[in-house]
Amino acid sequence: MGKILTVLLIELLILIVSVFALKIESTVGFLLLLVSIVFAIYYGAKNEKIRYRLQDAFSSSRRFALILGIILIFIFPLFFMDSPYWVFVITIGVIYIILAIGLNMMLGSLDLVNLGFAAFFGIGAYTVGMITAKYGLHLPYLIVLLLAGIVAMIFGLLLCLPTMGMKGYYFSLTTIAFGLAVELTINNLEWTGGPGGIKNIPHISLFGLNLGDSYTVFGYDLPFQLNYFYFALVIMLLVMLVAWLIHNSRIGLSWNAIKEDDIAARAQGINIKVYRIYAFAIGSFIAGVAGAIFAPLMGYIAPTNFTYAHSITMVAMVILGGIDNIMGIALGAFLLSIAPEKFRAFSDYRMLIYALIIILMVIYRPQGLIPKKIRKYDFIGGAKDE
Amino acid sequence: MSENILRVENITIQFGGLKAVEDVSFEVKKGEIYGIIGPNGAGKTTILNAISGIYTPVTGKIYFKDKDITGVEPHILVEWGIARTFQNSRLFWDLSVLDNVLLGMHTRKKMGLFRAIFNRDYVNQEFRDSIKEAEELMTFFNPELVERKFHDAKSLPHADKRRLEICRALASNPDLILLDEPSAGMDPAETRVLMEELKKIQELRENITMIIIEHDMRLIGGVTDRVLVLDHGKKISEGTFAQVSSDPRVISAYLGGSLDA
Amino acid sequence: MLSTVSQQLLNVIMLGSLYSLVAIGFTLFFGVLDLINFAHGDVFMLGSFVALFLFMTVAFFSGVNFFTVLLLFLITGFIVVIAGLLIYKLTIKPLATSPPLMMLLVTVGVSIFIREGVMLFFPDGASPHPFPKIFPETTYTFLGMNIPAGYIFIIVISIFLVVAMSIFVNKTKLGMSIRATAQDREAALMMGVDIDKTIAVTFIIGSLLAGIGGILNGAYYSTIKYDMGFIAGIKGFSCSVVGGLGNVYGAIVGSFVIAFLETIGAAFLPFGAEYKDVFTFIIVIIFLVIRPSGLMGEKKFEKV
Ligand SMILES: Nc1ncnc2c1ncn2[C@@H]1O[C@H](COP(=O)(O)OP(=O)(O)OP(=O)(O)O)[C@@H](O)[C@H]1O
Ligand SMILES: [Mg+2]
Repeated sequence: MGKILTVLLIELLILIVSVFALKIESTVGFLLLLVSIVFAIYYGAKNEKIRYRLQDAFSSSRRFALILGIILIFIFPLFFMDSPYWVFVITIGVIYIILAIGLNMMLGSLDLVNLGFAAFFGIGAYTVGMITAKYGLHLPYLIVLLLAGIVAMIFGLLLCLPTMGMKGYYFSLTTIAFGLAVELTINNLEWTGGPGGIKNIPHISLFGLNLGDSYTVFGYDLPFQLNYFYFALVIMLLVMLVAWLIHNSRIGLSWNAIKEDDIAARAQGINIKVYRIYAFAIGSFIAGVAGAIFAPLMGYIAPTNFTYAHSITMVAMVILGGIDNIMGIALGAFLLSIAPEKFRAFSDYRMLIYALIIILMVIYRPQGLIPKKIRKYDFIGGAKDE
Repeated sequence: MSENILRVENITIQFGGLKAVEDVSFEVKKGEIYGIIGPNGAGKTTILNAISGIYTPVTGKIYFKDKDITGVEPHILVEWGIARTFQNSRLFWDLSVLDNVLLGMHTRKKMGLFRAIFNRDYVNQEFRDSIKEAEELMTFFNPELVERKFHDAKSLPHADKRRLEICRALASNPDLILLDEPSAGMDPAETRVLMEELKKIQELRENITMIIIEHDMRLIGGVTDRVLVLDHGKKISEGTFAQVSSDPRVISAYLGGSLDA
Repeated sequence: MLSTVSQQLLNVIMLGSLYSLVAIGFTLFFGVLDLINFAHGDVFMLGSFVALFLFMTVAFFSGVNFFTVLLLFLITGFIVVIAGLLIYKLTIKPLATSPPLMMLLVTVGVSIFIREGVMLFFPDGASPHPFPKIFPETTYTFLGMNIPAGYIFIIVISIFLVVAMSIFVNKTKLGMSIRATAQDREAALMMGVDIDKTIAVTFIIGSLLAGIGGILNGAYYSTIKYDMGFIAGIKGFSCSVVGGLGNVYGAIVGSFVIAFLETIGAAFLPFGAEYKDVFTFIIVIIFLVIRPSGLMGEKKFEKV
């Protein structure tokens, strides 16, 4: 019981602090808060007793912690009803979490630094834009979403095949080239609207609901961005679930083996090609899906939404949060998508700060904020570890 | 079906201009423990790499269970029954001891994407079985491996790293296992224990065939049925250890080194 | 007809020279420490901005003459060398024992850092800047080609740098240690080569060539922009890959090959001009797929 209480208190605390952190107006106040959070975490992590109690509490009531966490995330945006802009920012954050988890399929699982990942995001978004706005086809949105994922996945496989034997720098170079080629092409093609992009992308309508409408619940007028937030959140949770399932299967295990030592992996009978195809297919599909949420939310997309800088941002998110750790990546992606909004005055410095984060993290904490863990197989039930 | 499990016919392996192995032939019988010895750079590892599919010979053929396996990719060969270890251990250092052994079972246990996502009962059952099997295998070698199953492979003591690699190779249930200097870096006491373990492998896995590359002549003399001697990429002798160690060509090849360690 | 062909040829030579100056750095870094420095293109860009800045200050006082231009080159060279050394000491050296992934990421970070730094801190850094005319503006006519004097300077300076680099690498002790390290690091270490110093020297040479290349690039195109290092870096890397990473002469050959294909592509393919860069990337990807060791590289067998 005490453990459940601990989990409850901690998660509530995190919720309150994050709401407060986003709401606080003064930069000084925000920085003070940030410093005290860092200090609290640092102190908590250093103190064996506290750390042990927290770990124990969370690992023995895992299901409760998870469900409570999800509930709190659903409540989270309700604190921002007065400013639809923040709801919008948080929604973008959720979209970036989806993207970062997709990128991790290559970067985290296989050490393939894809520096053109934003292209898949763009392809997904453009697929939706073309279908709904340019050609005005009235397909059910979920079909459009699926198509966006599939088109992105086809491009993912197109990139996968020629890069099959490439590692490290060669791979990264090729992905940069790929990303640029996609960007330049949609920028130059009249068919895709050129530099002007695609305008007037209709809102998502789902089961008779139009996400662009503002609904009234218990007398409250909810901003339409909230609909998008919840929709993105559901997709995010699904993506996280799938990522977790794959990580904790022999596919995830084989990925990590290939990443550690591809020759040794082949000597265990692992067919590297198959696993690279998995990584590309799943990763690019997820990015396409993210694009399919992004396009109707924005209503307007252009090549400038999907550049090299965006790819770098996604890499920074994964590195900051923790390579190959789903919670870590989610944290990293969320922090980096919120931070520039918080530091309005610094928003010009956004990329500079991202670059610094990559550099400092790689040198001082390459495992990220939340490092990946050794698989303990405590999910399988039965044969418990002693 | 002949009694030979492996037949190597006149293989030559070349790196750029260098012929690392030249026109070497030999046969290994089913259930045999076959040694390969020779001075440094003689081409022993290269032959192993050719058998396990990592290098393809420029000429010559390799037959496994009477099937031509020349140029077949390594991961397929594992499925067909050839497993191996590496001269410089190639464990998955940042994965746990247990994961290393689980990966050794890959060919028997791999699962597709659909199952991984939609059939978790299957996945869980599969992991339960594999973990049990892995633990049994590790216990056979060293119960300490089981105790440390959730530690990084890199945290193991040296001798256990070598053992773990053999475990991982055995986990695929191979018919032929290739061991490249299993005793490398071990002290004499550890080497003795390893010798016993190698002999016991045949009790554990009946009919398993082993090819062992070794520099430790006591080990070679103690466990192998027959030995192939290489020098400068060429086969210079073959026979029981007693036969080859009295072969004048072998003695002259080892001149400076010594055969009776 | 002759004149267009020869004019195109001139373009190839100009582009090839500029690409070489960047590509050599890539190939050197790769040789001594298996590193692809994604920030290298930005050092190139930095060179042009440092020169512009110096020009705006120094030349303001003394006007443009041979002496100021020479000084411009020297000081710019000095500053980019310092920048290169800082990149090495602060970000790459601390990762000496880390997995290669980390080194790759750090250079990506440094690249963005330099680029954004110039954009934010150079006056009006986000806009393109006209580059000063540092070379005489006479034009010579030769075989029907119009050759501006600046082009001749650019070619001569490039050749001078490449030859000087080549002599340094082949004839001096430090240069030998670069070659030894590139060939076999362990062996070099055993022969008493100071690896750290060798790498530092490599960074000095690479950054110097790139930085001066940046100035020449500014003089050639007469505008510079903070993000030009990105394409320059990719081009330089591509050239060194096509030539065979690790081989200095390969980098030069690769540069001219790419320059040639690019010029032809832009001239003769439909939409060639707009898709010039895409075309280059496709060539490089084809190379990476069918001949990853490049034109002049040796095929490597991974030791098992
Ligand atoms: N990947 C490779 N590329 C180039 N040369 C190689 C490669 N692998 C091996 N060689 C060369 O082939 C020859 C045989 O090497 P091999 O590793 O097979 O010898 P070995 O008998 O296993 O020696 P040791 O007892 O030292 O392990 C050596 O000259 C070696 O340098
Ligand atoms: Mg060997």
